[in-house]
Amino acid sequence: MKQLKEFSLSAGKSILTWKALSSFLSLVAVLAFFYWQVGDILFNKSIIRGSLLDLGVNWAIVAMPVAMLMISGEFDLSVGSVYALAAGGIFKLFQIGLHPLLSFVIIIVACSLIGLLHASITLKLGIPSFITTLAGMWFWRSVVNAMWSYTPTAPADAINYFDNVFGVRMGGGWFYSKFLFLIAIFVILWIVLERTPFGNSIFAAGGNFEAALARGSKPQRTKMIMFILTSTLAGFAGIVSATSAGATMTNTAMGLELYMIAAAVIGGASLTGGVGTVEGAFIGTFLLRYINTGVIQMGIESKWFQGIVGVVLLLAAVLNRNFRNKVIRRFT
Amino acid sequence: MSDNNLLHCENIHKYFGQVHALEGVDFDVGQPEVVGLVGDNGAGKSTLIKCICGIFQPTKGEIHFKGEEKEFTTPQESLQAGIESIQQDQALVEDMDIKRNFFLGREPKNSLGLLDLKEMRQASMDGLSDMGLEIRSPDVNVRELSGGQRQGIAIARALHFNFDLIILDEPTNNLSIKESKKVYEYIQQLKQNGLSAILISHAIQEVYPVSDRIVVLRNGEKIIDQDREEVEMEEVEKAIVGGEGDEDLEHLLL
Ligand SMILES: Nc1ncnc2c1ncn2[C@@H]1O[C@H](COP(=O)(O)OP(=O)(O)OP(=O)(O)O)[C@@H](O)[C@H]1O
Ligand SMILES: [Mg+2]
Repeated sequence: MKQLKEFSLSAGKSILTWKALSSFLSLVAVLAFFYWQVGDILFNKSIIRGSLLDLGVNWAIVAMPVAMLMISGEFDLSVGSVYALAAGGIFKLFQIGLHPLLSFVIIIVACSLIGLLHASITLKLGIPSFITTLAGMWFWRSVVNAMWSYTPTAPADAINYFDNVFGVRMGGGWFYSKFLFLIAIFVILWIVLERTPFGNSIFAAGGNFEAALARGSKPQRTKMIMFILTSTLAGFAGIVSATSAGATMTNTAMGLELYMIAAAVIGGASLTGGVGTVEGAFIGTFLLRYINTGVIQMGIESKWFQGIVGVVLLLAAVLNRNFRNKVIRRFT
Repeated sequence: MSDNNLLHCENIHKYFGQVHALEGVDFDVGQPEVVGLVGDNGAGKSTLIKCICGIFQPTKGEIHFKGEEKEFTTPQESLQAGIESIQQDQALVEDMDIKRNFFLGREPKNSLGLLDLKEMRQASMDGLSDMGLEIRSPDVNVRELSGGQRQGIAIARALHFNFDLIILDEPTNNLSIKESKKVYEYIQQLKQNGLSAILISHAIQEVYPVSDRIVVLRNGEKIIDQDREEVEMEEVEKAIVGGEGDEDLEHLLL
């Protein structure tokens, strides 16, 4: 009996001090609201698999590294353009007849080099990453526009090649196999951030760069790796998106970068670095996707999506700021 | 002084372009010994310290540590040699908890290569309680701690990792009298453990109570280097500001 009490106490404590608690509560609130409004329309297979988990998976793959990069004290505003570049780029490679796997490798390497370029300009020249990656956002979008002034299509066999990997219906039709990739990436990134020395250096790089430097925790290198990882995963998400949709456009993922920052902030990340979670960004992404799906199902004109996202973002920020600190002070 | 000293700096010069920030400074730290390094703003204290811990390289002069000549080119190198520098704003990451701060840059790993959180909790708490620092949990964020507790953690960390020389920049600046006393106790503990320390300040009051020796810099030159017993606090105070010409100002201040 006593053990049970102690266990539930410590479990209660870990829930209350969980850094992503407010994003989780926000998600529950949004789900409850939509359930109340439209009932279980929003909880059937085709909605979950299609509206929610399809785009949601692509987004979450980007949101998690964006949050980690923010924790390390940097931004990446170019993720939407890199996503579109990877999506269009792999179609180009398909069209010239490269093997799908080789095309995949080339695009992933190219995206990691873009990350390396952003990182080098930011860290070596001392330009804030907000500026560097804003420039990157415009530049790479222009590359996309210049190379694909029409909607590129790809040979069916190349598309099928990827569909057999990412687009297999699973779990009784509730999700596509790419969801499993997302879960794997989530688990790896969570462990990296919360349970490795490198993760410790991510928090330190954004929390107090000078201290991290003085302790020999190599914050420069950490940021460099995070820029590369973010671009790489943005490119990966772009490939998954293009091959599962079978098409991509020049305005694909336009504005994605701000939704990613919103997801990270809803998940507890701070704009000044040093604070945030991977699971929060994950939850934040699906919160955004659910709002999008929800407003459409409710029959509200979908232009209200952004308005509602804005309100939810504010509420989450207020929750994070005022609620969490108090709870933490009481329970640690 | 001799090469038996833990740290021996000889004839250190440092130029920043035309600015001659250090004009041939000799500086020694014995083992164990607490040296108070004082001087007015711009006297050259930080520059000297940065030369010792590898942030700057002296334009001229030699640095010997543990009897060997050293040319540190990065802070990491001096850290590895056993010199730990605790800068006020650079010591701890506020949004990180105690255990993670304690082991930042030197995290213990388990067989899977992951953080050994259990060891981190245990060792950081042991380190703190050895110094008489009572903190309820290693999971508390540093942001929640007082300035004195933060200094305590930084000092406990230096003890844990067995450094030979600890450099503390204005260790009791902004602290209450009670907290300052605590920090002095921590510094005494360092010495009892055979470690040496350099305490930097522009106010002699801050370092006088715990220093074995007082060194005063003015305009890049060493003007006092004496055991604390041999020198009065007032004398040092005068030397810091520079006796001549300031009489009028002193009247105004008094
Ligand atoms: N990086 C630098 N570049 C150019 N000049 C410098 C640099 N660092 C220090 N100086 C100059 O060297 C001199 C000594 O400065 P230093 O920072 O060592 O003084 P300090 O004794 O630490 O003073 P404070 O108590 O204000 O910290 C000053 O004249 C300062 O302007
Ligand atoms: Mg200074």
